[in-house]
Amino acid sequence: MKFGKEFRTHLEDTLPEWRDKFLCYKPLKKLLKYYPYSSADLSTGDFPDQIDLRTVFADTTNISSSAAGEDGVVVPGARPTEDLQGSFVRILNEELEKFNDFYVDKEEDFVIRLQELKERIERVKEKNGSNGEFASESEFSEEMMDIRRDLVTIHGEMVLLKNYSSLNFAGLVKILKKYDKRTGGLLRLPFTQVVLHQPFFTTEPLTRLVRECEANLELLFPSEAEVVESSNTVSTSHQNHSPRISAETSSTLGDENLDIYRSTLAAMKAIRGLQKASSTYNPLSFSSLLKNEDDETVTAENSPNSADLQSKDEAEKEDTGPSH
Amino acid sequence: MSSSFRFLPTTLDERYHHKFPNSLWVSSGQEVMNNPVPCQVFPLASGGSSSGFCNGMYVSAHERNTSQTQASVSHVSGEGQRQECSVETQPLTVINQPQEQKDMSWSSDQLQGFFDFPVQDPQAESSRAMVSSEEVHSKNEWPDWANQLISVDDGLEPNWSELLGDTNVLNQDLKIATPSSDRARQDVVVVNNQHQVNLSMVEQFNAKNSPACPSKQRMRWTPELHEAFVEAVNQLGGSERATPKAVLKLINSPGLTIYHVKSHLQKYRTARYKPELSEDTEEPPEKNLKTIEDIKSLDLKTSIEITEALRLQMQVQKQLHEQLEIQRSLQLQIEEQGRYLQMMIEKQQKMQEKKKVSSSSSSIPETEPKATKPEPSINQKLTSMDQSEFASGTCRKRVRED
Repeated sequence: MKFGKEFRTHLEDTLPEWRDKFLCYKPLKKLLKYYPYSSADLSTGDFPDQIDLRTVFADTTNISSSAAGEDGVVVPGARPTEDLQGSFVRILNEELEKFNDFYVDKEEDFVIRLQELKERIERVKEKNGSNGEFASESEFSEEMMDIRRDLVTIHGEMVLLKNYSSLNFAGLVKILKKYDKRTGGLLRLPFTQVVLHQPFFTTEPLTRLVRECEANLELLFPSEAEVVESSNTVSTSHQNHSPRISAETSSTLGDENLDIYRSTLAAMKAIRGLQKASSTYNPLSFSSLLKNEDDETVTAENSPNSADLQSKDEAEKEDTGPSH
Repeated sequence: MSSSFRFLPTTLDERYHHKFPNSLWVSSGQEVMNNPVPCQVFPLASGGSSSGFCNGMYVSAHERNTSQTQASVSHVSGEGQRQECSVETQPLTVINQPQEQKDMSWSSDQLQGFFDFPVQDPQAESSRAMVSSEEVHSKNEWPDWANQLISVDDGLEPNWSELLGDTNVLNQDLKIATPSSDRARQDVVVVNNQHQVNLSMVEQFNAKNSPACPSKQRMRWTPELHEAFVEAVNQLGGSERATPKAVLKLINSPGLTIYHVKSHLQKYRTARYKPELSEDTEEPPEKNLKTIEDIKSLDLKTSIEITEALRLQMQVQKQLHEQLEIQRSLQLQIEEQGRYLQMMIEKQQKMQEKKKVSSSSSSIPETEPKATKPEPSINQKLTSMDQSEFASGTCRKRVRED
């Protein structure tokens, strides 16, 4: 349940336009819940129990009635012979398409915008260098401030896109695990292999863009807390004021940046959540792998007592109910 | 939004099987997972249009074999794929069974909802259709299609034609289930093909950055490609004056289509328009305030605040980025481990099977217990993992009992 909750919370806090681009984790979970029903009458070739997938996805609150094994709300358009695996995989594929489309589209945007910013920087440099057209220093610094703001914005969005990719991947892996657990299928590993190579998960180009952005910012705006026109007194004063500044951040950042800032914090929270110990022990989970780095995430569950873990693990496995 | 598919994971599945008139089996290479779930159809329809579409793309089965229900055919749609090379090497068959179109209708409608991709360029597609039916084993009901390009039957799923542009090979492993006329066979999931989850197929999807082929391909714009684009545009006199066709010619990149260029140009124009506005006016609201007050100290204070705020924001973002990098590498590591263990288990199984085959019937019972011996070492690792990932049910049970 933990992941689902983290995921949902994150969705609420993330950029509004992105919300529906994420994985439909909850509906998929619900779909799994009804597994026995949905594949009930395979042999007879008749599926009265088929879940209405549209209902599942459109409104997750009233699933119970339709999936109660009553009359066939057949999956719209689904072949009568489609079993859960078929529809599940189909949905996942569609989700993958969704992710890929969104991701590639955004990536393209970033490439264009970053290029534009770099050109702007060049233009401003030239203007300044030739002592030509800038009416005053303040115009120059205004322009630089603009560029800086834009760089920070684009950097923020790029990082959020990476987060999007990562979170969706984690969600996919989780839901596949649940699928395998629930149905005894073997979907997870092969499907994951495919996912690993999807455009939305191959984030290396994006990472390069992020690095480039950071480098530009570093170059133009050294990371010490200096304002473009600051003097020594100013610099000391604003250091004292840094707590206050964070409170004023909202007024100075502007709406767009504020959204990004908030989403960024939400993303951090989600990641931290993922790294915490989950209820099932897994030597390959984030928490186990990170436990040496961050003691906060070590819990009793993570302590390497294999006997306890094994029994606990087995107990967990006996539980076929939709506990997650 | 770029409208090309990078890959279209579709394989027709039993849904469309023999009863399905025109099963269009398309699977893009990347849908490796189709293999274990043979006969899964992953319809990817791009918005609709119809037929005429890919001559190359579809192969219609000459024979409609009712028993072929299970055939999952992997198809590589010719549409360019980024991995052109892989297309060539991968066998993909698209099978279009020209008969009961009615079955397909739902999917077209349904699919239409999902995608709103522009109509594909038929010519482009035809050049790429590759069909091979290597994977069609079993009864070879489909001997004919194996290397044929058959034009699509219009009646069939019009949407299918749009689909797949992608030539992903993948489904080499798609097994065509032994055809049986039994409709209920859809539950024949060729799970045993699991082994064949073709990792090598997956490896064929490389070159994501190489320019894709025809329009359906999802285009991934790299900075280098974009730079070439910008240069071409500048040569043509600016974003307003440049036409997609001219730009396309200048860039002269093999996989690029005019659709890609068009959409990219549009984005480019939008991106330029905004900054130009602000450069000219230079009057965002905060600045207005500043000019009204126009006190130097106020200017300074505001800009300090802004800078500080930006710095703080940047810091948080950098942190998030670092975390994401760590998380990503963990994710990759975990999957790699999972894959490795899976392979080991499969090896185990193969060994066991070999033993069973080679030993006489009387010794079979002996081999079973023996076979469990090598397992404990794996078991120790595996017990703590999600055991449902294991390859076979029996193996799983054994592990649990340990």
